[in-house]
Amino acid sequence: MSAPVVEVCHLTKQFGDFTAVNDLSFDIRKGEIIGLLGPNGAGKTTTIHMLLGLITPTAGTIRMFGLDLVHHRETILRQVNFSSTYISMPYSLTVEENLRVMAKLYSLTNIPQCIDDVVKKLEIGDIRHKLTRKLSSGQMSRLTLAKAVMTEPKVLFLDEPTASLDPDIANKIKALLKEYRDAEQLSILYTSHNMREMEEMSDRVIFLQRGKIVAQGTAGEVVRRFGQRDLEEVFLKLAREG
Amino acid sequence: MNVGRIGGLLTRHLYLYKRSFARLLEIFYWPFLDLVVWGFITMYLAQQGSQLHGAVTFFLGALILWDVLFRAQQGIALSFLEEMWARNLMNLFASPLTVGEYLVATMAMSIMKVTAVGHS
Repeated sequence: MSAPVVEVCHLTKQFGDFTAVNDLSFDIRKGEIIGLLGPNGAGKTTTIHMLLGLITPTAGTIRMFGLDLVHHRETILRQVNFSSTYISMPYSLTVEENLRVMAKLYSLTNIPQCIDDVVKKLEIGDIRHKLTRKLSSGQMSRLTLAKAVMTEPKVLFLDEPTASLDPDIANKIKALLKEYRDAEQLSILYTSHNMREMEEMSDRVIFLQRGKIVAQGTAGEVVRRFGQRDLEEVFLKLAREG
Repeated sequence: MNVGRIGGLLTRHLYLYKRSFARLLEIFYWPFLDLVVWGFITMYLAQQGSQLHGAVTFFLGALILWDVLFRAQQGIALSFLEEMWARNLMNLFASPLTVGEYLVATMAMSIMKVTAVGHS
C-alpha cells in the first residue's frame, strides 16, 4: 500500500465551549477517494477548512506530502485544491477571467492551454465568456470544479461538489474525477449527503458525528458492521440515535 | 513574495475596473470634487487678502494630499470587502497566496489609483 499523502493526527477544533471537531485521526493515500459523511454540523466542512489552512486547529497536526501544514503552507497548497457548493467566484468577471486569475495565483505555466483543456473537459465552452453573475448554481459548481482541477492538484477536497448539478452533469463530473484519479493518482476527500454517490465514489468512508469519527472503512464494511442494507440506512441509524 | 501571484490579484482588480464605469468614475470624481471645494475656499481666503495666504494654501495642499491618501486607504479596505461580498476569500486564502502578497497587491492597486489621480 502506498504512503499516505494526507495524515491527520488528533485534530481538534473548538469554538469557545463548542467542540466542532474532536480528536480526529485519519489518512488519505495516493489515488484514494475518501468519503467524509455525517449529518449537518458533524464537522465535515470545519475539517476541510483546517486541511486547507483556513482555520487553525485548537490541537492536533496535519501533514501533507510528508510536510507539516503550519510550516510548509505555500508548498503544500500549490499541490492542493478544493471545490465547494458553498463558495462562489467574483461575479463581475467572466468564467475565463476567473480561471486566468486563479491560474496566476497557482503559478501555472501556459495558462491559455490550461484554460482550454479544462473548459473542454468540463464542457463549459458555452459559458466561457459569460459573466459569473449570470451563471446558474449548476454552472457555478462546474466553474469552481474547473478552477480546482485546472491546477492539476495531487490532493482535492470536494465539499458536496455535485449538490446543485443535474444527474447528467453530476455523472460526467464523477466520471471525470475517477478518470483524474486513475490517470494522475489524485487523492480526493469527498463530502456529500448522497449516500449512493458515496458508495459509488469512495474507496473508504469516514462517518463523523458531533465532530468524532464513529465509523470508518469501506462502504461494505461499515454497512455490515451496523447490520444495515446500505450506507443510507447506516446514516439514518446514526443520525437518529444521535 | 511571489510576483506572479501579486500580478494575478492585480489582474482580478483591473478586470473589475474594465467592466465598471462607476469604479472608473470613482477614481476621478472625489479628487475632482475636493479640488473644486478647496479651490473655492482658497479663492475666498485669497480675496480676503489675508496675510496668512501662504500658510493657508500650504494647509489646503496638505488637506488635498491627505484626501488622496485617504481614498487609497479606502481602496485597500474596499478590496477586502469586495472579496467578502463575492464569497471569494476562501478561493484566495486556500491558494498559495500569502497574506503579505495580498496586502502588497491591494496596496499596489491603490498606488495605481493615486497615480491615475495625479496624472488627471
